[in-house]
Amino acid sequence: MTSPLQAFKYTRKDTFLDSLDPRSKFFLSISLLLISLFTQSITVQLAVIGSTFLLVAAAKRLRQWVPTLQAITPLVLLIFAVNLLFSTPPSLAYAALMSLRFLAVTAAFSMFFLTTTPDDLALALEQSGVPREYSLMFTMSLRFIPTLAEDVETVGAALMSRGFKLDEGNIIKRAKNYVYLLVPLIVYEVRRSLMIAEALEARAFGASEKPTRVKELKMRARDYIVLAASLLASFSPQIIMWLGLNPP
Amino acid sequence: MDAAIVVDRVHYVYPGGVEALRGVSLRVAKGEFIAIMGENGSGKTTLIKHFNGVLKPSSGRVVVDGVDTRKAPISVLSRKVGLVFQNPDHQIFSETVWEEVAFPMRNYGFPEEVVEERVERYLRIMQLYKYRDRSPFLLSLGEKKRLTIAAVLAYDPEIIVLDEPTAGQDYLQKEQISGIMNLLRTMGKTVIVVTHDVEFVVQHVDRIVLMSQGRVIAEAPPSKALTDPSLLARARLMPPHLARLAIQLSRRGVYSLSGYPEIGDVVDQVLKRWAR
Ligand SMILES: Nc1ncnc2c1ncn2[C@@H]1O[C@H](COP(=O)(O)OP(=O)(O)O)[C@@H](O)[C@H]1O
Ligand SMILES: [Mg+2]
Repeated sequence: MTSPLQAFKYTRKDTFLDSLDPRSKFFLSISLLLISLFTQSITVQLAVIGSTFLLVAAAKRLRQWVPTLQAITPLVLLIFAVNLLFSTPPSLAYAALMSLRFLAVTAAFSMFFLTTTPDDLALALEQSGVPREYSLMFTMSLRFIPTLAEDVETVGAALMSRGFKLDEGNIIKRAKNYVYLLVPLIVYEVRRSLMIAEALEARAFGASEKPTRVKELKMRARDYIVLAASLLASFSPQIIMWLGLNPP
Repeated sequence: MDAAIVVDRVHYVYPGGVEALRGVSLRVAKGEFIAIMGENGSGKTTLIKHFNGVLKPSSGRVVVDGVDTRKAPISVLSRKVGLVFQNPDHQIFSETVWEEVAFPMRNYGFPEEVVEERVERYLRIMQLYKYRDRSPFLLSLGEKKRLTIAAVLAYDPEIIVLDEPTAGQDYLQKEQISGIMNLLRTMGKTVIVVTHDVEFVVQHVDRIVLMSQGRVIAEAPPSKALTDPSLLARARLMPPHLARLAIQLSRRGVYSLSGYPEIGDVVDQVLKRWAR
């Protein structure tokens, strides 16, 4: 499986983050996102990445998390280069800020998906009032990201096995080459989704508006603590400023 | 004899960490017909994907017609090794059945009149000529499978590798594929077939390579491999009915087993005993 997509794949473990309600975990990631979006400070971006690192380390997921960040490094560098070239006047600090921001946001959301089961995610969506069809759509698309990545590889290999030079020529030629990949892929994925739809209906999906659940999500004390801490963290740059201490 | 493919102590680990091949060595001579058999997940598909460089060994090496697969791109290796993958849906790219067979020949720069002649020939052999203007995606599974076989045979590679060619085919279609195997043999091609189809193997191959858990556990002609219950048990293969019957009869001293049993021969021997 391609490593960037490993980022969103849940593996079962028993740590503090795993024991949290998905809603409070989501809020935690959102607050990291907010801090990252609203600060202009490189130090704060680094702090966001650093604290995410600590959280992920506590959740024992570094082995999946670090490769993700490595895999998006080319993208980070691209963002850096583009911002350096197109900012007026060209500013190293600005380019660094933008690329670190991207890194921070990916890091935070990767943490969320690495520690939340798709089932919990679906439950959280439903209990937040999202209709079952949509919550299922969301979790199924997550579930099929790795499968899709495998299909891309297999179809690419099959194309090259017919003498097709997929990775040769200039950028435009290559982009055109990938159109060949899309045809079998789209046909295949559409067919697969129809099959899934049939299978779902055969299992009486949609027979009742609100199916019963074995498990109900319940916020516990630790969840409220995380919520409060996240909320506080979201405003921490403002708080620091308020206290008259300029953030670095 | 010259080697078509040499596999030398190959290990392969998938990016996810599964070690699918654990030290496979294998030599396929030019013009040889072999079958790779073994339970699901034993590494057959992983192994044959090494033959045209779709996968490169994690350690060890694969040499095809004198070329190390790590040193040549898939499109170049595929000119020598035609690989028909297991799932036809992953290897159909064109808008019509006709174009699908022409596709590899166009990639390899065959002259147009050759393309026309070969597309027609192989579509007829595979009984797909009547569908030539249809979308390949609308064919049945068995038809798609034969179409992908036609597309590979048409560009005439020296070595042909088929992953479960008879899966999804009915009796008559299997007979057609068998006919093509005979044709390939007269053409002197090297053929490697991954299959669970024991009848097919008995009919066509010189040698069976049995795999289990990422290793080759035995190599033997079908007459030997398919009548050795303990070997088959290790590869989690069920001996064919005829072989099971022959083994049972020979244990009871009613039949003497030598090579792969022939049904007529079994009947004759049993009747002879009966008469006495
Ligand atoms: N793309 C892949 N990624 C990770 N593991 C794989 C992949 N393809 C196959 N495997 C694993 O490798 C092993 C061998 O698989 P495969 O070669 O397909 O076996 P076979 O063709 O004999 O059924 C299995 O354990 C399978 O789960
Ligand atoms: Mg297989």
